[in-house]
Amino acid sequence: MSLTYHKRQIIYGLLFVMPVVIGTVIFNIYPLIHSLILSFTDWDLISAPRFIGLKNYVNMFTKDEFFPMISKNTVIFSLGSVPLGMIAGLILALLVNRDLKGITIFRACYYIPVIASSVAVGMIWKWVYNSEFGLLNSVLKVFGIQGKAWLWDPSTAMLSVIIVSVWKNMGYNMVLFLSGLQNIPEELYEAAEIDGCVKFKKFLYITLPLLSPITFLVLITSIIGSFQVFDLIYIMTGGGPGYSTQVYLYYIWETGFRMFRMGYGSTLAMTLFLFIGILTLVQWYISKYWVYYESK
Amino acid sequence: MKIHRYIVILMILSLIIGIFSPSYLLAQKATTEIKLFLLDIGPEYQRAWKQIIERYEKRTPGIKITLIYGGWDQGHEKLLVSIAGGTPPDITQFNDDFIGDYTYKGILEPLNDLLKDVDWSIFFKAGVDVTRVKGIYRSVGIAHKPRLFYYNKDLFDKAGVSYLPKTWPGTGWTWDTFLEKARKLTKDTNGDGIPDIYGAAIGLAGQPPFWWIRNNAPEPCNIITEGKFSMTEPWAIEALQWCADLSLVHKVSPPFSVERDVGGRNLFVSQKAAMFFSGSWELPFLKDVKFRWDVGPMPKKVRATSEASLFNFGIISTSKHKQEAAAFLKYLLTAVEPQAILAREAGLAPAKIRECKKLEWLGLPKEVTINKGMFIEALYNTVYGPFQVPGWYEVYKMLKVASDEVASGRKTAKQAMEELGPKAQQILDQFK
Repeated sequence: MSLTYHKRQIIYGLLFVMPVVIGTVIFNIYPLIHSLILSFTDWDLISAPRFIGLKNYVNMFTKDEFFPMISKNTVIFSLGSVPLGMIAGLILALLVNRDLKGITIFRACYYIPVIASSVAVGMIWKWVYNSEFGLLNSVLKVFGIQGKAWLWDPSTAMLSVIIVSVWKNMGYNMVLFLSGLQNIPEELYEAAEIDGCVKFKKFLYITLPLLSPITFLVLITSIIGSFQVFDLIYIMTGGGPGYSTQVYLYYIWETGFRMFRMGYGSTLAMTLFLFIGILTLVQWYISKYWVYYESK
Repeated sequence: MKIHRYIVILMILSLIIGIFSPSYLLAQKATTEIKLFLLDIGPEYQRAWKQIIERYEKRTPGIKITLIYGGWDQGHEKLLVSIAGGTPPDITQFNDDFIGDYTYKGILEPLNDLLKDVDWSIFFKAGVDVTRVKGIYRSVGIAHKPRLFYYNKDLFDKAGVSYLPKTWPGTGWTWDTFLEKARKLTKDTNGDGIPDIYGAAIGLAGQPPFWWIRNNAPEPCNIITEGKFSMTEPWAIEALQWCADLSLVHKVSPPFSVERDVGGRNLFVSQKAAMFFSGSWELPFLKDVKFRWDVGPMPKKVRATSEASLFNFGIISTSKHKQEAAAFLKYLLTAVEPQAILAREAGLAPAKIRECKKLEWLGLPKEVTINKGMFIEALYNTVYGPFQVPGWYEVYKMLKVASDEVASGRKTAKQAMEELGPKAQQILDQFK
C-alpha cells in the first residue's frame, strides 16, 4: 500500500519529533505526574507510600514553621537577582552591540560564566568572599576598609549569593538582549537622529519598546530560574548562616532526602510548580499592556 | 541481502546459545556478588579497599565484592534512592548520625545472630555501645578517628606556657587552666586590636561542641537521654555559652566567621592558633609542618571525655546475601589484615584494641616524636553522640544552626536553646 505524499510527510514529521516527545514524556511529564501522586502520600523512600490525602498540603500552610521563612527567602532572592540580572544583561548587550574588531572575544568572555559549572563558580566565589584571605576583603583593605564575613553574616549572606547568581547568569541575558537589539531596524534610529533625538531618548522610545518581547522572555526565564536556585546555595552557604539563605529548592531536597519525607517534599515541589505556573500566567496577561510586537 | 539476513540470525542464535549454555549458567551461579557502598572514597581508601578485596576474594572463592562509591556529600541520598529503586547494596558504610533513623526505618539488618561468634570485649567500648540499639547490634564500627587537642610547642615556649599533660585527663588540666593558657598564648603582634595568634581553635564553627557540653553534665549523660532533649538543662546552656565566650568575650578563639572560612587546621598549620581540637584525620597535614607539636587531652570540668568519628558499616535488610555479607563484615571487624591495611593506607585507628595500640596507623615519620599513646587514651575516654536515637539527625541539624547563632553572638545560649528545646522535643516525641 503506498502512502500519499501528505501522509508520508506526517509520518516523517512525527518520527523526527518522536525522540523529543519521548524524552519529554519520560523525563518531564511522567515525573510530574508521579510527583503529584506522591504529594498525597507519606513516603520515606524505604517503605511503601501511604495515601494521606491533602494532609501534606494542610500541614504545609498550618504546621510547617519553616515554610513561610523559606518562601520569604526565595522571594527575596528572586526580587534581588532578577532585576539586577536583567539590568546587567541589558547594559552588557548595549556595550557589546558594536561593530568593533575583537568584540566577539568580549561577548565570549561575558558568556563564559554561564557555561561554567555552578559548583566551580560557587567554590571560587566562596574563596573570593573568604573573610581572611579572600580577594574582596584584600582589595577593601587596600582602601582602608575592614571587610566583613560576607557569607557568615545573615545581613550580607543572601546579597552575596545574589551577586554571584547575577554574575553567573548575566551573560545569558546579554545574549538574548543582543539578539533583540540587532533586530531593531537601523532606520528608526536614523529617523530619530534626523529629528534631533538625543541618545537617552532614542533608548527610551525606540530601544526599550522594541526590545520588550525579549525583555518579557528574559523576565519569565529569570523569574523561573530564580525560584529554582539550589547549587549556589548548596556550595556557598548550605542554607546558612542560621536559615538566612535557606531557599525553597534546598528545603525540598533536605525534606525529601535528608529527613525521609519524600511525600512532603513532593508537596512542596508541586506547590512551587503551581506558583510559578500562576505567576507566569499573570505575567502573560500583564504583558499585553507593555510588550510591543512588531507584527501587531 | 539474503546472506546478510542469515548471518544476523546466526549471530543472534550464537548469542542465545552462549548465554544459556550450561558453562555460562554455571559460572553465573558460582559467583555471589556482594555490593559494598562507601562514603569515604578518597584515593587512600580506594587503595585500601582494593587490597582488602583481593585478599578476601582469594580466601573465599565464589564471592565477588563490588564497590559502589557514594561519597559523603550525596552518599545518604544515593543510598536511599538505591533502596527505593530496588537495587540496594548488601553492605553500606553510613554516617553514624543515622544509626537511629536507619534502624527505625528498618534499613539495617540486626546483627546479633549474624555476628554471634564475635567477642565484643576486644573492641573499644564506646564504638560497640553506639552501634547497639536496644540491645541489638545494627552496625559495626571497624575503625575510629579519635579527637584530641593538637598544640604548637614552639608557641607554648615563646609564651612561657607549660605543655599539655601527658596523661588523660592529667593533673590540674581544667577548663579554667585551659582558659588561662589560651589567654597567655593569644597575641596581638601588630597592635591593631585583633589577635594574630589565638590561644585555641576549638572547632565551634559548623559543629556544636558536644564533648564540652557532656563534660559539664553533673551525671554522665548525652545530648538526648532517655528520649529527653538535654540542651535546655542549665549545665548544657552554661557549657555552650562558655565555648562561645572563648571567642566573644575572652578573644582567645578566632571569631566564628574566621574559623568557618579558614578552618582550625589551617590556623594551626599557619601558626595562628596555638591549640586546636580535631581528629586523627589531621595527621597527614601535620607531617611536614616546620614547628614542634604534640597532642594532649580534653580539659576536665566534671569529666574529660572526647568523641571520635566511627568508620561504620551495616547490612541492608533487603540484601539477598545476608550470610555472605555478614561473613565479609566479620572479616573486616575481626581479622588483622583488613584492619592493618586500613590503618596503613587511610590512617584509621583499628577497632580492635590490641591492633590499635600498635599505633602504626598514625603513619607519622620517625622524626615526629609526639605522645602517640594519647590517641589510645582519647579512644578509652570517647563518648559518642546519641546516634541510636531516631530523629537525632533532624535535631542535630537544628542544633547546628542554633549553635552557630550562639557562636557568632547573634543569640545567647539560653535564648537559642529555649527556642530550640520544644521543637527538638516534638521531633523526638514522634518516635516514642
